[in-house]
Amino acid sequence: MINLCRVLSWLALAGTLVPSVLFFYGRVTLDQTKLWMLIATILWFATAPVWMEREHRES
Amino acid sequence: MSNEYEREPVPPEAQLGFGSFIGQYAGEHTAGTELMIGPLFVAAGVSAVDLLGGLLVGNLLAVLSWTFLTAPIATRARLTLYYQLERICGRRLVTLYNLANGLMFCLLAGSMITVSATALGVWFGFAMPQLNDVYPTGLGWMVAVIAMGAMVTVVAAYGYEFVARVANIGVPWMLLVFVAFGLIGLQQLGVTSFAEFWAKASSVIWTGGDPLPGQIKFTFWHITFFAWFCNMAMHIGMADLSVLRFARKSWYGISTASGMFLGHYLAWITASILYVVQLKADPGNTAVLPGPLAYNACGIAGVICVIVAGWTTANPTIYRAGLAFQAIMPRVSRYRVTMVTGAITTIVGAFPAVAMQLLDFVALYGMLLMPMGAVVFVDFWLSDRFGFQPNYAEQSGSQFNWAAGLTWLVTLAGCVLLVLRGGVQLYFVSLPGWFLAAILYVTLSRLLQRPVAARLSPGVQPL
Repeated sequence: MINLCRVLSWLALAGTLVPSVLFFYGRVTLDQTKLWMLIATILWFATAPVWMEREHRES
Repeated sequence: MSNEYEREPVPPEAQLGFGSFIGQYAGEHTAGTELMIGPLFVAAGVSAVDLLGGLLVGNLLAVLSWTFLTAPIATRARLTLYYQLERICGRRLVTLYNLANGLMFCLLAGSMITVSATALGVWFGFAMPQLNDVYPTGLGWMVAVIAMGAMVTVVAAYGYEFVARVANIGVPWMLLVFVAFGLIGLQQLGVTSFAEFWAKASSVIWTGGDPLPGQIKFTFWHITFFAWFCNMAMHIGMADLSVLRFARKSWYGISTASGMFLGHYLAWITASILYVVQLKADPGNTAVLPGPLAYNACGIAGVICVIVAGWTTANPTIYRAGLAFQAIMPRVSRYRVTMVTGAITTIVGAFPAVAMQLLDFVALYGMLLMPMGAVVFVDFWLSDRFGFQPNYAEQSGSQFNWAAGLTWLVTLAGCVLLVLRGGVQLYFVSLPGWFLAAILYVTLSRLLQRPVAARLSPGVQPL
């Protein structure tokens, strides 16, 4: 579960940045960029606390 | 980490590695106010060379100040600034310092609440402040600020730990949203490859020229000094003794580069790009409103970024202000002090003047606390050489070290005089001010100190 959340978190970070890179190169529209960034944001805040909290407790 | 070992040196087992400071500084300096500062540079008519070069030099100087001024004292004394000042200045003078510090924290947190409230304006469409507005712009604005201020205050009073954790979780994501702001803004300004960045940067984005009405013209030196001194209270002012006392090695001060070059370089530049996009779309729309700026670039994710950036940095700021005030009134509970502090902060947040004049306010904040940093520096390194007693208040049992108190007041008076009568701008005055404070403290200590028998606080080694 922890590892799955960690992988999803990394995907979420990629999903936060990659749409803007694609927009920069004219591959996607601004609306698509905003939508993917929102999805990535939700995914990050849903998954990152799971493993970051655990790491925090262990440290 | 700053609440432990408040009156004793940090022991070796509690000291932290380099990585702990990288994350902390990156998070602390990627705040909601970065979204104000970048656009205000554009409003000040800055050119591309001045902005990119000035930020590079200024942020480097800030990192060096932390590394060579703050960290060496922090890792030798390993005491909080407040306790170190108490030993030098005496309890009554530290009370005055706490009052000034707490008030400055209130103003800073107020501007962060202003920033967060602009995000609510995206959804609720109330009238928002313009660049030169001083007073609240209407009922909708007041309600938004009060709602945001109440939320921040209650959480700071009840659950600071929770917000600190949310802030840590938000940092990596927030940094990438700031990068996205820049990429999206660049594309909207017609930059479609990195090869053409420089040509467009100087001809389209940061073109220089006259500042917007009500703003002063910023040059390379303004940007350099602003970037260097915007955290002056933390490095030259020594507030970060409380943070870096946990560092195992003095060179960990260089970890502040994460905050300077991600927060104060990248974030300021990308935020300024968003403002240029707005001005190109509508030259008459000069309002610096982080909420709408972020929404136009990144949609709801951008608005969430503004709220998270503003909220997570306003919270510890209110908390720190509460601690500073509580030190003055130790019998009143921290909860009550934080609630009152939050109320003051919310009132400040309703007045957009502080946020809209953030460049001036930040320079003033550094100037106000800088003399005490000079006192700590001189007392630690130069007292033996110049033949006066270090930690004089502790050694003499004094409640008010007049040499330090007069140094603070006379330096501030000198700085104000230089600004008002000498034609020196606020952004530059703290540099001569530091040397003035250092000379004053040496001179006044030699004049005013009386011989003392050695006294030492329990658990503290002589320095």
